[in-house]
Amino acid sequence: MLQNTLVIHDIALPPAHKENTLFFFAGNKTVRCKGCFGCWLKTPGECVMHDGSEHIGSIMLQSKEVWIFSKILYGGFSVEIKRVLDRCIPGILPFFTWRHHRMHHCPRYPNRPVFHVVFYHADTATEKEKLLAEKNANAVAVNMNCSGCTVTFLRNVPAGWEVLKK
Amino acid sequence: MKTVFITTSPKKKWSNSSYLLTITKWFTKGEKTWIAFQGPKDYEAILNALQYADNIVLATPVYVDAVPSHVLLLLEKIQQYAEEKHLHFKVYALCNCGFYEGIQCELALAVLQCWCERAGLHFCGGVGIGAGEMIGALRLSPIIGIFAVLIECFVGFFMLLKNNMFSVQALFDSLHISVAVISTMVFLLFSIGPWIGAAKMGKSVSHQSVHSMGYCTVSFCPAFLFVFFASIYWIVRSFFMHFLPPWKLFHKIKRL
Repeated sequence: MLQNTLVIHDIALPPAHKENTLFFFAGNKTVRCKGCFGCWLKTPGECVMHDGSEHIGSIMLQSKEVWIFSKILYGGFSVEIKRVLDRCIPGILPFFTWRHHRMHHCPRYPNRPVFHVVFYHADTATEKEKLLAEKNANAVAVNMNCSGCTVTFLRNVPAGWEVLKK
Repeated sequence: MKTVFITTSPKKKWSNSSYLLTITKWFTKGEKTWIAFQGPKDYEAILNALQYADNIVLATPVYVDAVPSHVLLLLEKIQQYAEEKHLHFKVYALCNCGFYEGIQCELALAVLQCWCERAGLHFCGGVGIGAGEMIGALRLSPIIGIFAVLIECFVGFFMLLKNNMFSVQALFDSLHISVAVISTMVFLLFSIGPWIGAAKMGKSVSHQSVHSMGYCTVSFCPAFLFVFFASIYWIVRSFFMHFLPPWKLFHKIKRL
């Protein structure tokens, strides 16, 4: 196991010093996925673009808990968070299986993390967008073979990492 | 009536989104503009084209259950532009995902619907197509079949000449034309569902009518067969393109 908790966030808060926790800031440094499938077929488990995000998929799928802090956008994740999530597919295999009566990718790792998704700026979102955001978060969790998923909506940008203590 | 077709796949060649959007374009009447969105350099071309557009058809792959990050950025740009210029064109969506079930595109289509509501655009429905990678790869099927027959023809021609037995009939008899016919039939049979889905969308765009959400996948191919073909495809592709033996595909990153 690499660490217990992975925190992926798009808020410019300084990372808290928490034991066994990796804070990953989803900024412009992360390059978008090119859809080349190199992470499955050329360097399995690792993205072929070496920009500091090449292992994020494998780290995510080997963590006990994954916290995602994202601005809500059109009923889904923000551009920055989505960019990181798109780069997470090296953590799963290209082969298919069935989960929840639908086709999904086979897991690469036996570990099953728990997802905690926190959407902020939720006061600007409609009820329809919030419902869709919840569905989106759960769909990602199922796709990544997670054992559970919680979704929280915050009105404002989190001022600190207190929510992690819950 | 002017329609702008935007394909957003990051792949420059052999893109499944572009392939399916081409079919929609064939069945759309009126003035047509085609833009392949690759990144920020294409924003200007897209925004300029949207200025006089009546409809746009957006083709996007589905990444991790929703539209890819670069498409989200484009949507933000279009929203900003549409609000500034008070544009209210109609939006049609064509999503394709790698999973078998086309319905797995429903969240991506719902995101596009939410975007339209925010930007003051008219969302007129969309099509979610499953088995995207397979539909794209199926294009290789007739090419491989015809190529195999051509090689057989070439080899047969020289063999018959060498043995002093050449005649057109003898050459024809030595060929296995059925290989090309079967591979072409497989391509046509499996692709017909997505083609119909994309073509129907073109008809709706032509009439500027609301296209209800429709989902389709490879036709005449049950899910278990899809899984079998997909597994073979990944193994063959990694082996021939990257010289990677199949067991390496399961590699686990242990230490970073």
